[in-house]
Amino acid sequence: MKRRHLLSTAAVAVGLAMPFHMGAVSADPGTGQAGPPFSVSVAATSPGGEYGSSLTVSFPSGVGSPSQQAEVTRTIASIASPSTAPSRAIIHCDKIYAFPDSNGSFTILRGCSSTVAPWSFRIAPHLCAVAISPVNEHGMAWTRNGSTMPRQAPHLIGCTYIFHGTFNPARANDRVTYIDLYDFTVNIAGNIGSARLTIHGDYTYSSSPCSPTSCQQQ
Amino acid sequence: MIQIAYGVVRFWLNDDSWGIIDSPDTPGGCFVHYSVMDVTGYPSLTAGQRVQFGAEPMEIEGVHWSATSVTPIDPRPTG
Repeated sequence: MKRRHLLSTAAVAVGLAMPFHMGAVSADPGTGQAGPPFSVSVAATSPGGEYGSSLTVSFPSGVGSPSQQAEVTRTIASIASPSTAPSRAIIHCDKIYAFPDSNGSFTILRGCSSTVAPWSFRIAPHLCAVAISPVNEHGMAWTRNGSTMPRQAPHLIGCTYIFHGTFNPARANDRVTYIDLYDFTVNIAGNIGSARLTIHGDYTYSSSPCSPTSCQQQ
Repeated sequence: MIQIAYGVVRFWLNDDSWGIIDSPDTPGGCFVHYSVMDVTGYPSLTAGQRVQFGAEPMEIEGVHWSATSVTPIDPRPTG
């Protein structure tokens, strides 16, 4: 395999959002029954913020006792723990770029003589392992040189699917930003929650292929 | 899951960089996306080209298999 992993994550922020409404607390710590809404968010981004993803899991009915909440938080943070790799925001032509992080792997490719750029995204296997529903992909939303482009087709499909599409047009020196949302239901330690995985990126196509030195860090 | 199979490229869409492989091991065809290809440089296949590949069951682009790896085993046909 000749491609190299370019982007990944360098920082993780574990956010715990517990919108407690004390008057409505009905949790039963002994049974783990419904309690206040509970959510956990984990973000993974490249050092420069050029690429990344975030995972938010919400449990509208709560997850029970504080200790159970802590366990769920640890589990989700473990699932979404980041990896690290160099990141660059330049996409040279005739090269497959793979941007893996803890939530999945995004790839992008543009041929030197091509005016389109196909992409793919696969959700990480450990995340699919807790998914108990099909994934609702909203459809890739993107901009080209600051202009909003038509949103790409959505999908409702199994978690292991190779989500894929094409940025069209894709010309040298174009700057592209993208964002896509993936919603699915998860079962984490017996707690049913709603997960939203967000992927995003910001890059520029180079007119040139890799030189012997231009892709050394990728 | 199929670790190693051999097949022939039915078609390849250059712009979208995916195609379908035919093989007795993957009845109905096997989807192949550029992201699983083991090649140097720009990934591309040509109809009629023979490949070695791995595959997993997946409903995608009208077929029931998706390649997990693909390696061309002969040069792309010319002409």
